[in-house]
Amino acid sequence: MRRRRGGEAGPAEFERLYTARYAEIAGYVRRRVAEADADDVIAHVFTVAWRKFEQVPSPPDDRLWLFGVARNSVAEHDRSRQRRLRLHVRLAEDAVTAASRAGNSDPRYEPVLTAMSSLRPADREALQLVLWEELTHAEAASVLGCSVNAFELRYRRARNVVRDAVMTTTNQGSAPVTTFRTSSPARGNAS
Amino acid sequence: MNIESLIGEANPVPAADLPSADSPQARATLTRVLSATGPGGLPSPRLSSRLVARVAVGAAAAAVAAIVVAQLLPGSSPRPATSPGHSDPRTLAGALNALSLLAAAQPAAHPPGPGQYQYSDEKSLTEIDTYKSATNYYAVSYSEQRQIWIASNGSGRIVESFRDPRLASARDRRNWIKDGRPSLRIKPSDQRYGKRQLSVGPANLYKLPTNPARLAKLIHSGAVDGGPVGSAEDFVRIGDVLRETAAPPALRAAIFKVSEQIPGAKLLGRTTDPLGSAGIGIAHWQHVAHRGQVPAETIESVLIFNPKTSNLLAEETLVTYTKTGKTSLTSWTVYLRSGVVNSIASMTPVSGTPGRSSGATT
Repeated sequence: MRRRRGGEAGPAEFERLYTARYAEIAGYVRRRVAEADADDVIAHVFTVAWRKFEQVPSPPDDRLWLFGVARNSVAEHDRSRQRRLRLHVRLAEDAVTAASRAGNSDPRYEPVLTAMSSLRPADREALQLVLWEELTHAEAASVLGCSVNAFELRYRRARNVVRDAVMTTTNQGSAPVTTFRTSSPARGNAS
Repeated sequence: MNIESLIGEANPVPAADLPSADSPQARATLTRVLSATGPGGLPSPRLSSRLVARVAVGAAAAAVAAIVVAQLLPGSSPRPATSPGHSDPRTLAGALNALSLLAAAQPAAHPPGPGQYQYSDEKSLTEIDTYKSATNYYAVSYSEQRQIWIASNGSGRIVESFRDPRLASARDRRNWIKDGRPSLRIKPSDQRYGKRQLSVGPANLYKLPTNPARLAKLIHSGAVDGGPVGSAEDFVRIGDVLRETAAPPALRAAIFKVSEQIPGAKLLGRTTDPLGSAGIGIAHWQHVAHRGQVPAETIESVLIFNPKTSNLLAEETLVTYTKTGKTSLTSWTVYLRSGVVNSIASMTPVSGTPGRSSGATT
């Protein structure tokens, strides 16, 4: 069901949506962009929602719709920042580490955040959507626009890389502990 | 605690630290938003119901392609290549060209109609670890089966079950015993989802170009899903388009052509998937550095294709630890069956991939 077209109730209805979803969307944005830019990106997300209000699904479906807009807004912000700075830097990595410095400075989590910053952005996003934004795997797959199975693959891959990095770091260079007894399939030898 | 809990705790901006919607900061943002152009201020996205054109390729072409791909399979007698490149199935270009021809010749999969669901059934190796401390943790691998039903409105059902728990090593077993031998059983789950809560793949699947050059440009730029750029990402996107989607044959044919251009993509050739079916393996390697704090890893992503249909049979992830040189198969997924079914309980597709019976079982 879509929202009813405009009218006097528009701003009031939008305000209800804003109040209900602000915290989650603000959290999503603040975990991904530098603090100085966060309010601008949050405003952009809700401006898109306001301008396209007739297309915003009714609750509870509006939640994932807004996460999708937020994801695009953060990506757009990163691209414009990259263009502006003309630097070949890993912006997402910057965002993670910047957020880490600003927020969670507990040294226990440093290996986790360092390992996460080394992930491919799409893999890192899979972990963050579930473990930081508290979406279900199905919801996160929907936000990323991929199938549940595709999401599971990304999630597992990311989790394993972080786990291996954390374990190796905490064991001061001892051999990684993750080994599987599953026999490797026969492999071809073509070039 | 497991690694997921640890990552969750590392959240740099916990919800408790966020300003509420009633805070002056949030109210100022709301005022700013409402002062922008109101509803309707932006043009609606142009929606096209016209699907991309489907390419019809004759059965003869499919037969030729199948013969070419079959040359890579066990038991076949590979002939010396008569010409290099696209006609030699022992090269990446040749194998992908043959898979592309096969894909183009497959019947188009139709999306589910009213009352129907896109069904998929997969089996995978998954692992769950329990983390007590830096010296007390253990990993358990499970054989997981997942069945998914998705209606055209995004509603559906996911059924998951976990079997055959295995402690990954003697060390994991010792730590599990030390932890009091907790039950390793995981209860099966059967969850229903409302409208728009599930997705079958990239949202713009039917709008993607089937011209390989244009498609490659879109994929490489990240425009397909708005994600980052890079060859490893491109390889993931290839899998996303081919994995249990109703991608039109012409698109599937084009995506194989695109795969050929991804830097780092290699032909594994004859490969057997974890459940014993023979296929054609394509791989991509990615190096993970961890900023030099821990030994680098090389992650190998493998896609295995059915040599008779070009459908995706399975995926694997292997990790090689630079420090030890040890390679582990860390996860795999085998696609058992997919297609359109007539009810949310049905497991018999009325169309689509008929399951592994069409594969080349060894």
